[in-house]
Amino acid sequence: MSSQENEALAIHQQELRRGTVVLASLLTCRTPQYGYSLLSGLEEAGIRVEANTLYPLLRRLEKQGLLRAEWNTAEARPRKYYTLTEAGARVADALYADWLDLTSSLTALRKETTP
Amino acid sequence: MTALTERYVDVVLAHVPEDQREEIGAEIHAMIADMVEARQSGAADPADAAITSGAAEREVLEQLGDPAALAREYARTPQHLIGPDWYPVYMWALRWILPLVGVAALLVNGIVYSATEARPQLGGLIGTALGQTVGALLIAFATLTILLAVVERTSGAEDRSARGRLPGMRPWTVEQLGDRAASGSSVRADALVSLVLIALLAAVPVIPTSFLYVGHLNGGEPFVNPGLAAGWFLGYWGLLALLAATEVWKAVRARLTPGPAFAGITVDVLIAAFLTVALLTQRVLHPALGDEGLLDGALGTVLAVAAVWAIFACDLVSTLRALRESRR
Repeated sequence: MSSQENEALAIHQQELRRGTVVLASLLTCRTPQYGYSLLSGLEEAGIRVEANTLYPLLRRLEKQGLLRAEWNTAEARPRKYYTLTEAGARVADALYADWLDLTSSLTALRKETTP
Repeated sequence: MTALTERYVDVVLAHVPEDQREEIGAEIHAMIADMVEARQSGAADPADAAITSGAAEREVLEQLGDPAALAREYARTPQHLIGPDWYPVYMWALRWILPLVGVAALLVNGIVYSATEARPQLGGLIGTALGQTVGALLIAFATLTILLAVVERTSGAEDRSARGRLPGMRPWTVEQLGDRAASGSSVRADALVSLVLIALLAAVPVIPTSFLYVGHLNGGEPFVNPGLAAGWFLGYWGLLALLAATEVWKAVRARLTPGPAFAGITVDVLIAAFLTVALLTQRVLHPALGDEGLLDGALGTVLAVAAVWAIFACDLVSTLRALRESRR
């Protein structure tokens, strides 16, 4: 690919991944996670996200009532744990259903347009 | 935490709302500590871990990037003064309000200067009117910009369908494509310029010679012969009023249609004919000016009549050309 194509690809990949990070974070937080554990979990699952994007995102999801946050001070270092709320679970289910619909639509579209 | 991390966190917190600083500060400290620890635990030799502690911290901070950018991620406030939702409204307001403010300021300041100055002169009029108008335009521009910037930050993000519309503004429909395609601001701007020129032409019979610094020629009386019968003055102003009406018609329609265009051409012909008759039969210029040598001589009269019809011809060509363009 030319450098122009690479540049365009990078922009579109970023757009494509932006929404998936929200869904991936909600799904992962079905079990309590602190920021870095979520970051590593997503990375292991193949979902790349920068720390400087993820931490502010978690805070916004908390403000939207999709995640519940609690500081755990029992450990050597205080950590903020995030857990999916009931509202968050409903939103995650709806987003996941949308994701599956999109996947099947894209698959069908690709099949139809493949010569 | 080292002083380096503290400095980094301080810069981030300086850019976030005050009531969130404590909470965000604790989050960032925990985040950096976890990331540094993860890097150090990745070191094969425990001795290396100690050696690379400072390096790991630097790596983590550099990975997090510009603290101002991190703060923006937390704050998520608009980074633009007027965003895409309100920008069309802003431009629409500027296009409508600034020309109106400019013309109104020019007229008001021009009238006030002429009325209050004992001996009004062109330089003083231009200086006063332009100076005040520039100030009025800047104030109008700043007011609109601040107003829209405030609206941008206070309008609810939840109702995006209503964003970008002021109360009373109709939602977009395809009919507006017709309006915009044919319009325009250029037709309105042309009409506005024409109105200003008409106002200047209307003032010609009463402008004193002292206004253009030649008051010594006729004792500060007007350029035009004050001895002309009143009917000539009334006819001149009446025809200019008709011409002004056709320009207002064009501005209101916001497009050049055959109606106002041909009405304008008709009034132009009447004015040219009126001036021709006046120049050929009357002593139009003040008798003290030119001493029979300028416009009152035969050559001067011919030149003046030729100039009147040349201006008419130019106006006719430009009107017909604009009409043809608008019908494409």
